[in-house]
Amino acid sequence: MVNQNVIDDLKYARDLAQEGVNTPLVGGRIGLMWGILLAIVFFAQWAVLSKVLTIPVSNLIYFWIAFAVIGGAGTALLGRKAAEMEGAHSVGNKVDGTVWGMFSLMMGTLFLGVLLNVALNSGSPTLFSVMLPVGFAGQALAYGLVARISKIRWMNLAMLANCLCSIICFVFYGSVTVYLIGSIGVILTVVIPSLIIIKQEPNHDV
Amino acid sequence: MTSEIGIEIDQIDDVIHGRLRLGVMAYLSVVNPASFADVLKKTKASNGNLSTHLSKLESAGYITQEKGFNGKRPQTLIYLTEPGQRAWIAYLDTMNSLLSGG
Repeated sequence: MVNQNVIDDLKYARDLAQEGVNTPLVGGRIGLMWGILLAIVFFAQWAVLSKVLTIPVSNLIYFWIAFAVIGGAGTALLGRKAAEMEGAHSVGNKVDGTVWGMFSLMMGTLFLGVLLNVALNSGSPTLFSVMLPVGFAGQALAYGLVARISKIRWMNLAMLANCLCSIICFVFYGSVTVYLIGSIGVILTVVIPSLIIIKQEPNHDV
Repeated sequence: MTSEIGIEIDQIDDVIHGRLRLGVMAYLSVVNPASFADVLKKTKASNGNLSTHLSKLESAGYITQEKGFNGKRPQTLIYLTEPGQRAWIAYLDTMNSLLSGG
């Protein structure tokens, strides 16, 4: 007969490992910040291009510069805070951090490519709106991966919502309306999921 | 030494086979690195007791402890090393053999 103490010890170890596996995600605040910034910039883009807001179109570049600067600084600051939370280095959080980092790299690459096409090859500025359907599709991939690894089932809904937004944005590709759809889509697919993640996140200060 | 179900008791890694060290290894197998405070909270051990057991694991080369700062606050991060991962898997295999009868 195996000693009951051994079984108790193994159960204790299993419970601890399970706690580690179930560690909530810690990147909700970063997602919320990017979501709010993106929703504002997309809305501004729509408002300016549709002449609801009567400022020169060229001023949109300042919105995007502010977006990148505030987003970059905010990520550095909030990332440091997130690293202090318990379980910040769990498998789920590592996957979450990596996949969103890669997603940002992908979007940055796409943005640079479109920018160079417009600047050097007389491409149409309409090309910029391709970033919306591609971005939503990329987010669907990120949510799907994190949902699978972290076993967070509701995140599959966020993945499907992003797929839907991607399709809708492709339908409206080339029109100004795509930016308004993008703004609303970001609230639904980034801001709301981020708020849920924040609500479920572990304690600070460990 | 052989148990009544035929397993060599000596095969069980004595460094891991202690309740608290077992818990630490289990937690680090899924959260790596983990802060000292995080492990302390999860294991519900006392500060001194945890330090003693971590030293034993560190001496065996199963973990490393890295003292540093998170912002202005001191923080110790505990890493499960590669030999530690191998030892953990070997330990689980041994226990699996033991519990499944050889």
